[in-house]
Amino acid sequence: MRDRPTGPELADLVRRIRENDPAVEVPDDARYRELMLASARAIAERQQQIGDAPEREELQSLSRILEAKGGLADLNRTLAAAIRGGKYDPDAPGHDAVRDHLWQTARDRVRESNPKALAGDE
Amino acid sequence: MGLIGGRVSGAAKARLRKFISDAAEAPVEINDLRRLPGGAIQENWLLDISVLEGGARTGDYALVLRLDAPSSVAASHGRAQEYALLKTAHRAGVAVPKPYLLATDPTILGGPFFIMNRIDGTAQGHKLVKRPPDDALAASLGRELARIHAITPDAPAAADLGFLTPIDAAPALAAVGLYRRYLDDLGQARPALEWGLRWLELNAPPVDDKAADIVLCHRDFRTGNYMVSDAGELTGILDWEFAGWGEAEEDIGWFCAKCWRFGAPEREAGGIADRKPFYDAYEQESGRRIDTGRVAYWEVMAHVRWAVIACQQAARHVSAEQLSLELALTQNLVPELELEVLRQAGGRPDA
Repeated sequence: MRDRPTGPELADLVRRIRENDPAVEVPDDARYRELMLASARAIAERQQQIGDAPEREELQSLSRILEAKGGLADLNRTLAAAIRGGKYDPDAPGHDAVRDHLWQTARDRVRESNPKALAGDE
Repeated sequence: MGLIGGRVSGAAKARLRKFISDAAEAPVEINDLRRLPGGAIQENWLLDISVLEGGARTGDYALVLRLDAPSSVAASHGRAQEYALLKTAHRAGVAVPKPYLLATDPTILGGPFFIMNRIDGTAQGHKLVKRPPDDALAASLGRELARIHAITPDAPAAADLGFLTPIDAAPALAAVGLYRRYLDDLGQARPALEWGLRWLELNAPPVDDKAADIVLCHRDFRTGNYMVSDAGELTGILDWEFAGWGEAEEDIGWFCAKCWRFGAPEREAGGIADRKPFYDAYEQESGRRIDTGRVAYWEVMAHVRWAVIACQQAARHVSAEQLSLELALTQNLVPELELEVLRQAGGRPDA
């Protein structure tokens, strides 16, 4: 599940900063500020390009693992609680499926936040 | 109020001058006072003063004034506690900015603050990792960390640290419980971090033989939090607000964790050198052997911890408590940290 601030929220934040909205704190150093603005824009653009497919796949995968229906937030809450409770410990049924799901989901998020960080796992 | 928001009123400056003058028992002039960049949790202000006709204290002082930012993360100490930690470290011979004065009276600047000596150099991680590999700097850092870890709960040096929570369980399991609580408080379900925390729970190092080894952990000892002069000398360890009792390998793991190498992953000691000079100097100064298995364990914890803190920081932006480009972008570090947690905690399918 995508985190907040989402891509559109980041794009809106960039716009507010460009319009000198005094409510938003920005770094004093101009070069650093421009780097951060470029980074925020790039994340928003990548999310837009990639679209909804990763979240649809995440939802399908969660439904399969948990054998339940629901929204992304609810199913992620269920999965998080089950992991904490030890339901998917090594050697437990479902361990590998959850591991593969988490790995895929994390990679999908990194592809949006910082695709360069995926190098080495390919 | 006082200095909040980067501005300083004439009245606040006059109150500050009176406070310093009373403490110095001499007239004082403020020559410069302005906010320094950085500091999401505290504000740091450059402060230059002259003490006039003050006997032994007469002279010019280059100082830093540190006060609470408008909001702070859950785990950080207030200024009074950080001042006590700084004083303790200074007395123990750790390279830190000399602490001068603590003000708990909120009517002076709007919140508690303290004043310390200003040390020269740069702390910025992305600059430090661009220098050539620096074994001497890594060794200096190893020695300083050993000096910090020489402060133990029952040592006379720790007399002023009664406010730190005593350790009554395995430090690793205490940390797992703490980061789970933080996640619950955030109200975000983060299955990848839960995976890491469960692994950390199942793989926690045994505690029985380590009871005597509880030391003062800095808990943010990493590149970015120490100062290096233009000549390459280590001039001081900064940012004591997270310090507490724990096991030494927690700090060593935090310093070496991949997430704190600032894009120089091949230099495993904080992006500045190999581990060896850092480890060797630490072991020589402390007289204790580093347990590398424990360090590896605490490096997994480091990624979980930084991810949780990053979520806390971004939540301040999302909740509109503090709208900030930097805080907003902190959330985008989390996916990489989660991927690293999975890599190190049996979450990589083909591993």
